[in-house]
Amino acid sequence: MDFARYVLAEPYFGWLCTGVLMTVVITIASSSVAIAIGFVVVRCFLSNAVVLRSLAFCYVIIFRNMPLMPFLLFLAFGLPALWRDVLGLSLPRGFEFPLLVSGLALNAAAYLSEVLRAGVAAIAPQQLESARTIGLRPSAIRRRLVYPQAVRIVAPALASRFIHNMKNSSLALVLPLPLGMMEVVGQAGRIAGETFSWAEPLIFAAIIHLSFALILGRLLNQWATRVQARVIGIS
Amino acid sequence: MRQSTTVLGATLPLAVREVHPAVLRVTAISKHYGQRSILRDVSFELQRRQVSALCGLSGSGKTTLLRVISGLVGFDTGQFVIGNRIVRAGARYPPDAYGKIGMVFQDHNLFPHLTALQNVTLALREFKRLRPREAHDRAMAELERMDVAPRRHQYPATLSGGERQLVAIARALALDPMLLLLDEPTAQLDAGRTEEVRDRVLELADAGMTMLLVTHNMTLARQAADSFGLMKNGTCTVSRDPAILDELRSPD
Repeated sequence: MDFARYVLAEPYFGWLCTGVLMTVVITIASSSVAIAIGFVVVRCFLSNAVVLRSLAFCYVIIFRNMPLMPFLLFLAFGLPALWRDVLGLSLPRGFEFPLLVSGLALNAAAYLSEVLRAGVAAIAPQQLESARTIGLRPSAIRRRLVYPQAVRIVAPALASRFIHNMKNSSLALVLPLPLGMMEVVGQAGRIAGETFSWAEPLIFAAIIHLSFALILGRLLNQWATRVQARVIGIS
Repeated sequence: MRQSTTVLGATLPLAVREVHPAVLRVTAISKHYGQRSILRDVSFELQRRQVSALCGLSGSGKTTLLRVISGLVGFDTGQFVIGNRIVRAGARYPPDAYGKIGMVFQDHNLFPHLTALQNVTLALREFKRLRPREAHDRAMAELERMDVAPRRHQYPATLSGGERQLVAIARALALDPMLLLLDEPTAQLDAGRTEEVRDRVLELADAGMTMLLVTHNMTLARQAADSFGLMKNGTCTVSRDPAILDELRSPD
């Protein structure tokens, strides 16, 4: 074991730092997109239109049951090939990062929307009736009452989904990302490729992931407990 | 020629109605759930500034009647008039009628993620489209009237049962309804808290608020109301005489 040589020495330490930063960027980007998609899916589930509800249902069924890594591989290699065959064009350069983020987000949103749907289902219907008697329209009820409460009710589950997203970001290594955009596990692999030393950089990546998960988990849980207390009636 | 109309089962000259225009006129409303008849041919009228207490055993249809009037459930036959709006069986409830009828539920149904103040301002912003400042002032006025203004930044979870019910009344009053429906507002409260809510309801009655008050509390009914309705198996008998409620007394 020679951490000084394979982790702390330049340029490897710089690569790993870039990796840590990219892990954060990928996690935040994919989680944000997932939240947006998740709410759209929940909105579809709440719709009166059977078509929208069925679409939401199919989306969740498909993306929750599809393993993430083959899906990312398909996005990275299958999709460009299809694109070329069908349209006769190659994908524009720099497509990997948006593809990675959308792949992670599509997967995460399927879980997220189910978590949010549970939160929506937990809201007492009498409360929504009282909202109707004070003249609130369905859109206002969703925006001001249903979504804010659903998020609070399932806050701990949302927090754990966020941690999942961070861990899933390491699957970025299956995509041909530019070197400067690889996350920490990918950068560890890059060091290993140059030095034939796998253990040290991967242990470093593991420590990063573990400590991020523990710290974030703790912070998010504090947030979750605080916002949840109000809506489930503990003060 | 003397025109006449039927009010509370009696024939009164039309002139009386013009002096005290009816806020709510319910005509022959019936409602079934499957084979079960919940409301049978219910008719009554509430005039401006009138407070009516509606009593009856559990399951007699009191709550369903309030839910029909407040637009939460439909009904099968009959119609009712609220202000200048007619609501017919099977027809869509007019959206602007919601603001005209305030409803206070048995278990307050406040929004738990909003403070007392936010609970009251919500509809002022979203339904009445008031500016934040105006909504705040309007809400504060009602919270003060209900004597819970100092508790305005508390969440429902940290309010007492009585305070929650008072905030719920403030929330309904903030929209300036022409009629306030109260569904057993004191049913879940102990004696002390009941008194708190009762005093505010009596003040509202004195201030001329038109109210339909469903209650099991005979003292509250007698104190607050000037007319009395007795519900029994979905039918409603109305009288000015509180003696019609006597049959609800427990035989002790």
